[in-house]
Amino acid sequence: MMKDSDRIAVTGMGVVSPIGIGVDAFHQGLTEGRDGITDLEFPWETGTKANRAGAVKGFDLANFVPDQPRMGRASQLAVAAAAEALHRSGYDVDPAEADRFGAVIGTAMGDVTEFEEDWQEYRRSGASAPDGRSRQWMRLGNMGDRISEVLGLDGPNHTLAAACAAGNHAIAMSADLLKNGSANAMLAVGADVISFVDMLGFNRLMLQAPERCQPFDLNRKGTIVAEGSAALVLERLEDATRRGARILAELTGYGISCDAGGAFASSLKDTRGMRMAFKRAVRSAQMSPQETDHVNMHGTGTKLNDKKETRFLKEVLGDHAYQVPINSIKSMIGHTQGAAPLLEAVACVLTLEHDVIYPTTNYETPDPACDLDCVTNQPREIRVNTIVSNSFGIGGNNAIVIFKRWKGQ
Amino acid sequence: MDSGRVVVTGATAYTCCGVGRDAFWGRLGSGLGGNGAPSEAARAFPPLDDSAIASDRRLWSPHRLAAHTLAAIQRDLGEHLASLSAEQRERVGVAMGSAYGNLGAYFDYYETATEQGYQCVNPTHFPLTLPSAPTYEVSKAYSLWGDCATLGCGLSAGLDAIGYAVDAILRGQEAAMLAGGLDELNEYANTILQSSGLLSPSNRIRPFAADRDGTLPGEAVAILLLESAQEAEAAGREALAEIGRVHTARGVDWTSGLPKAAETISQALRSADLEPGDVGAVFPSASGDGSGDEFEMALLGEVFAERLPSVHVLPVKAVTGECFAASGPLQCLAAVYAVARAPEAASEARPASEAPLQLPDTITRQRSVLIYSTGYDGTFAAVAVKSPTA
Repeated sequence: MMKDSDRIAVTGMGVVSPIGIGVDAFHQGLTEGRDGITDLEFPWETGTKANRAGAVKGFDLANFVPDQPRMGRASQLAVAAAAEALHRSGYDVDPAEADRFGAVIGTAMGDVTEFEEDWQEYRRSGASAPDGRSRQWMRLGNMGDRISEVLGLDGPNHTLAAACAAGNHAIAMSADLLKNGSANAMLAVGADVISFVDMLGFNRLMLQAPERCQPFDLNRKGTIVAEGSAALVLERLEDATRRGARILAELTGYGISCDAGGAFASSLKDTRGMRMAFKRAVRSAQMSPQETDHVNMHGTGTKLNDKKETRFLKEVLGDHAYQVPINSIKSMIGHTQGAAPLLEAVACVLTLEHDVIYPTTNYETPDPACDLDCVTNQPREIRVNTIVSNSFGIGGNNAIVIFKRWKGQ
Repeated sequence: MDSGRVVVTGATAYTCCGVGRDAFWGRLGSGLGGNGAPSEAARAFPPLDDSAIASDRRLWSPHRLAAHTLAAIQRDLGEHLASLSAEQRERVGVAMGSAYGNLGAYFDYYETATEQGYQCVNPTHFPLTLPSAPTYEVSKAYSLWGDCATLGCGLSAGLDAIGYAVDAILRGQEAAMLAGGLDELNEYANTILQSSGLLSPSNRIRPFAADRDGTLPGEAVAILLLESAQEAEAAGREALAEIGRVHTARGVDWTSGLPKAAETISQALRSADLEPGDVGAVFPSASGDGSGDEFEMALLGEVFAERLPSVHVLPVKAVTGECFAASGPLQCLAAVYAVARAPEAASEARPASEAPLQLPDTITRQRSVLIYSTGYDGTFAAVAVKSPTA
């Protein structure tokens, strides 16, 4: 039996995505199957006719928090998502207890676009070098500092880089800090932006699709690079109940591992790291794998990932895998890198709230190697209680989180 | 046996002193004074010697920082890691802290593409632009299937990573963790540092000296092997030191951040069951920076009050330079040396000094020490290390 102090509640959410800014717009976009992918221009060639990407459109930080100093785009997105999550949680941060409210930020690349620009300017103009004391040059620490400054949070503040699994790492670390008493409330935030290096890197590795992201489709051609941010407010369930918070879901478990099998870790057959993360997650949730009602897949739309993830799910769920509806919202928003797990966590909580599983769009042709019950093209109205959300990053970072309907819902 | 304690059972470093723990500890054993960068033009400590990575193909990585990290681990911990069973490897993780997050690899890729054209980048080098690349190179090289995390909160990221690892062991997630920090001096970091106004015009680093005039950058890797005391004891492995939980704070500026920093130190001491009166030595963050060192002097006065003149203050950046996120873990390595390997003091009675800080040139054996990191970025972290028998 899980101790009361180990039960973690989700009490707030915020999101800035290519298909909508704000939780309500995000839900609307997901339900409609909105396409957030557009053409993006860079000053340099990346070797493709068009750079298709999931960019956030019409974003202005001033709509969330006015009069902020210059900060990187990733920091802006992170601050906005965090501000919305805090607002929606109804948590009134008492300045005298600000050291009990912290933040963990998960990111793949950090706050990179501004120093790409600063460095270009330095190279081009021969001006004096950028100031080494500037926070800009610490691409990882920026976002946490900005969230802390803008929102007045003085609790534990950490930044975790774990490639495309970073957001789930941030959720896990936030929960651990609540469980060990380091904080009363935590913001788990994920944020990443589209840099030139990102776009070129995915293109050159032939992981980027030319037009659209088609997870689990026979003719899928890769993923689509995207940007975004999302945040969850997490509290110990007993604290959230005591303050009368609206509890959106319980975060019941999480598991982290690394694919350490060397060159073979990325092969189709080697799912050991994924299985380890899943085993750790269900153990911490104190549940049987067969209690899984729905899986939010990592589902990048690359040939290897989707086939391997399907295989992994069959291995850990057995025949039950065929009874569990799966989806990938990356089909609509693209791959927001380290932020993706947090955007998907918001989608999972919205699924519990609205009794709907969002569609995997762009699905046309079934792939015999990806033969699970994929929710395709149209949302599915269904009431589920336990959702597993997978994230797997370049380099072998595996992080899986589990959300459960709160009994009060 | 106690499952609620974490001990240090191994350590390694790659510094300007050489490859491996003994190179660093040997340099510490010869004293902390008489340092400085070798040439007027360099305004930096010497870069890491690449010969150790060039001579061993197993350590090859297209990324220099990852290669140095692997070389250090192989030197001091490789034999132990190779002896682990497949089952044990599932419960060993890696947590590394970095301030600049592999910026060199990122900009190498960026500049190649923008100046020479997209066709000129090596596609397989893209994953190396990730800040997490050196950490997962370690996990893969030694088949460690546990957690693989890169902490990046700025100059105290190395201590943050050690704190992350300690907590992972305490909650039973991992049996052991490799934890530490790494940062390199590359063209980009060097360019911005040279124009930052932080560097010593006299090309010397003199922490706490009245005539200090700035810091000098260096590059390093520093890693501890941490285990639960219970597992180490059961396996018969020597515990070099016991380490407490790391406590952190943000927004600690050097003009008004003293109360927050002092409270963070108090928390770190409490978590190790220590009081300021138990601490024999401090391995401070001091880097020779005028205002930073002044802040630290005031901080030490606040924490130790009238006991301060009897506490050994041992700034290791005089030996290694300012190594950013690797600095905190280097201070931890020095602390492990102090509690496990340093010679006993010649006299039992510790001489009281009239000076506000006692800055001995040599490190003598200690039972309990304090380590902290602070930086111009407002990050702060503290941890206590003590003899396992203390």
